[in-house]
Amino acid sequence: MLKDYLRKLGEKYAVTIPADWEPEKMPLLPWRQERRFVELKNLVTEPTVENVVMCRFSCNTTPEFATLEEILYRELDLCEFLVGSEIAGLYAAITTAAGGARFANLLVRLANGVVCSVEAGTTLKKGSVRPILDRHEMIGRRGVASDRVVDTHVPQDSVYVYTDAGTTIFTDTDSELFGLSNEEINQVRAAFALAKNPELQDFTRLQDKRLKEWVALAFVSDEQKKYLTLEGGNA
Amino acid sequence: MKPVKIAMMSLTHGHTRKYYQTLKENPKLDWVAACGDSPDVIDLFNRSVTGIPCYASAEEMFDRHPDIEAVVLASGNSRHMEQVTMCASRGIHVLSMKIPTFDMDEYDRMITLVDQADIVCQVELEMHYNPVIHRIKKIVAEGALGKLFAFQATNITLSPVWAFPWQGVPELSYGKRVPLNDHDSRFRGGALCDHPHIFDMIRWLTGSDFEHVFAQVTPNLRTELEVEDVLLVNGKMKDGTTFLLDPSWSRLEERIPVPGPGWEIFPKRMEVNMALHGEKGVLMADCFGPNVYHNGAPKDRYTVRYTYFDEWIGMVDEFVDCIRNHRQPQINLRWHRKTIEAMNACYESIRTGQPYVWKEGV
Repeated sequence: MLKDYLRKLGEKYAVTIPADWEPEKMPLLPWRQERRFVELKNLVTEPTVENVVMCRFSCNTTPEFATLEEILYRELDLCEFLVGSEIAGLYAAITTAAGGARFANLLVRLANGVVCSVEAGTTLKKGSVRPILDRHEMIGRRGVASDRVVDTHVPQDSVYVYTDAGTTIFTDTDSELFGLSNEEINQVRAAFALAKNPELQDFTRLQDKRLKEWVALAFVSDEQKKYLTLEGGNA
Repeated sequence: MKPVKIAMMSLTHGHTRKYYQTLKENPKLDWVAACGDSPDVIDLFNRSVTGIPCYASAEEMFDRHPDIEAVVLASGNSRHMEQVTMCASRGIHVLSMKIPTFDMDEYDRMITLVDQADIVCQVELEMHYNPVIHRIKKIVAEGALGKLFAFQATNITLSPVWAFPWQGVPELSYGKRVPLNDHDSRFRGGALCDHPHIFDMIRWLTGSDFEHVFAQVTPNLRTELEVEDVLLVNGKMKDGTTFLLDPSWSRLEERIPVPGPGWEIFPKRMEVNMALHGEKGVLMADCFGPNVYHNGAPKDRYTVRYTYFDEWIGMVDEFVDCIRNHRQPQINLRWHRKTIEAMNACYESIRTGQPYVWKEGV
C-alpha cells in the first residue's frame, strides 16, 4: 500500500520510482520528515530559538507499537537531527519490569556540548487512547521550542469525537496522503525524499550504522554503569 | 498532462505569498508571469520570487505572454469584477480570492461572464483542502455523529489591515461605503469580509442553507479602523441546526507593513475551530493544530509555529484538473453565492438590530 502512495507522489512530482526499489528495506529515518520535527529544527537553525544548551525528549509506546531499541534509535537520531550535532557520549539507566515492559532514562552529550535527556519506554498498555506519547523540548539562551503546548504534558489532537462508543481522536496533517497513519505518512515522505535525492541514501545508511552502535552502547552503559563514548573511552 | 501556463495578478491580497511555493513546485503548472498593482508590491514580489517576470499592468503581462491560460486573482475585492471581465474576454481561467464581490448584481454578472466564456472560475475557499476538514467531512458523511443539530465555529485572526490596507477601506473591501447602522460611525468591510469560511463550511457539512442570522458588532479593538473588527453571529439553518459563528479579528498584531516573524501578539494568529453536535455524538476540531511552540526571536513572546498549510496544494490540483478536464470545481461561483448572501445578511442584521430572515422558498 505504501508503494502505491509513493508511486502517486512520484507521478505527481515527476520523480522516478524504480519498480524494483524496496525502500522498506532501507533505513528511512522517517521522523525527520514529520512536520513538527521539521519546524522544531527550523526554529533552532533560523535561528528563532538561539543557542540551545539542553534538550528534554521523551517517548513512551505500547510494546506492540515499538521495541525499546527502536524508540532509542529514533530519539537518539532526533537529538542529532534537531540540534545538528553528533552524539559524543551517553549514560543509560534501563529497567525491565516483571511483565516485560522496559524503560530507559538516558543522559546524552552531543559534540557541541548540548546535553539531552531521553526518556524511552514501552510501558503504555494496549488499550491506551494512543499507542505513543512523546514530547520534545529544546531550551536555548533565547527561548524554548517544544512540540507540546504550554501547560500541557500530553499531546493534543486536531479532532476529538465523543460518542456512545467512547472517544476517538485524529490528527491529520497531510492532505496528499490523507488516510494513512502519521507513521505511514512519515515513511512515504521519507522514501520519497530518498527517491528524489538518491545521494541521501549513503547518509542514511551511515547514520543507521552509527545509531545502532549507540543503541547497543546504551545497554552496555547500563550494565557497566559507565558513561560511554563510541570509541569506548570516557568523553 | 501539459502544464497549465499560469500567472498572478495584483499581488495585493493577503494570501498572495501562500501561492508562491505551490506555483513553483507543482509540475502541472508552468508559472510564467505576474503583475503587481504598485511599485511596492512588485518590489516585494521580486525580493520573494526569482525567475518570474513581474509587470506593472495586466495588459502588458498578457501582451508579453499570450500563452497564459489561467490566473490567480490575488487582488483586493473591489478589483475582482474588472479582472474577471478582462480574463473572460481573453478566455483565461480564474482562481478567484474568497470574496468575488459583495454586490449581488455584480456577482450574477460574473456568473454570466464565466458561463459565456466557458472558463473555469474556482473560488479560493482553501479550508476544503485542509486535512482536518477532510477528516470532519468523512466522519459526518459516515454518519458517526448522526443528524447534526448544533454547530459552533471560530474563524478568528489578527487584522491584516496594516500590511494589506485595502482590507480596512470600505470601498475596496466591501465595494462601497455603507454605514453599519444609523448609530454607528463605522462601515461594512472589516473582519466579516475577511472570513467566509465558517459560513461556507456549515452549509457544506449540514447540506442546508441559512434560515436566519442575527449579528452583533462590539466596539472595535482597533479604534482607528473605520470598519468592524469584532462581531458574533448566531441563527439557524433551514434544517433547524442552531449555530454560533465568530469571524472576528480578535487577535492583536504588530502593525508591520510586511507580514513576517513577530507579527502576532496573541500566540496563535489564526484559528479555525469547530464543534459539531449530532444526535449520536459530538465532534470538536482545531483545523490548524496541534503545532510547535516557542518564545524566541524576534519578540520573545510565546508563539505558535504552524506545521502544516497544505490547503493550497489540493486547491491548485483541483483547479488544474478542472481546466484540463473541462469541469467545474466543487467551490465555484454558483455554490459560493449563498455564502456571500449570508454575509450580506449579517450586515443587514447589524443595520436593523434584528435577525435577517430568508423568505420562504428563497
